[in-house]
Amino acid sequence: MRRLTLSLLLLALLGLLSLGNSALLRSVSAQLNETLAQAEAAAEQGDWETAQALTQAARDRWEDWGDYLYVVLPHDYTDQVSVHFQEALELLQWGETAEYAASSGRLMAAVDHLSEAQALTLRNLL
Amino acid sequence: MIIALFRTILLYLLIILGIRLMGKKQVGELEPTELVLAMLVSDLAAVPMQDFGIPLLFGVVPIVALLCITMALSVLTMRSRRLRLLLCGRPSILIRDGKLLQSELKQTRMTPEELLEELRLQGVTDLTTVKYAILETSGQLSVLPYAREQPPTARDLKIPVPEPGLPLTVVENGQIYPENLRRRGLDQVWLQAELRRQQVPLEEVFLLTVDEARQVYCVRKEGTV
Repeated sequence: MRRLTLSLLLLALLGLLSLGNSALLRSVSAQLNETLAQAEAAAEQGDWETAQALTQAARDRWEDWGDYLYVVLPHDYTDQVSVHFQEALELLQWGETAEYAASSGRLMAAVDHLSEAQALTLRNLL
Repeated sequence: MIIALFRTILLYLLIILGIRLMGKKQVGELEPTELVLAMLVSDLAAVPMQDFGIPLLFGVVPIVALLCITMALSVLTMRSRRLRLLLCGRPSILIRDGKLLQSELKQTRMTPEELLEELRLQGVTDLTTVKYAILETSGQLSVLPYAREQPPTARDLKIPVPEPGLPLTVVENGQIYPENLRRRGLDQVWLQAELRRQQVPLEEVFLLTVDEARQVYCVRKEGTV
């Protein structure tokens, strides 16, 4: 009986931790994308400095979570986001509106994908 | 990670179902749950081992989940006959009272040739000598010959024979196992005396066993005098 209880408890714990991880990823993605959306809005207004500061802040936040994200996500996903951040920051420096908008879109999609791919949905299960 | 966990559970159940549908013959020597565990765990461990882009957790979580499920199922099958029947099936009697049961052979999808092969592997070439042949849930075939086909035992011949003892290892590679000495009601004094009697120093003992009747079996290490 003890083995059964321990097994079921451990399984439940794994489930809870996994769900917690999904929730955390959703929260981190949402925060990053909110900041990136503000940066994109600032760039559209021509305020490149604000856009750059916001994007850098988002990147700093991304790097704060770096170790954890590399442990719980395939490295392809996390590497992609890092590359897109770099790309967006470079384009902001040059003030390239169209390219920056496209790059920002890709970055936000990649950030979204991090949490989406780990969400408990039928699409992901199948 | 939650996806990996759920997929693990779904795939595990699916493979169990597949193994059950395949039948006992294909299972070999393991119960279906054990076979599935063995198949999956090695593959799961190999994935993060070979691809460094995949976090270790993607292998660890499914493996731990599998172990938990297998443990839970093994406890539940011990308690529930119905679940045991569902997961492991029941033994099939292929030969009863010397007669081949064709319907059972058909159900287990075993051909007569395969049955004869299994019987030969057990040293049986004459079907008429077999009272029962049972295909167990593990896929192994148990063969029970007629009593007249079995060699006579000492009891049949009314010959008194001493009971064999269970040898316990007391010394292995020069190392004493004190708990086994105690189990045999012996001590170091007895051991030293026995080693003197065998004319073997302790460090030269490869194996020394003692059974309940204090029967000693001693093997000296190779290369020593």
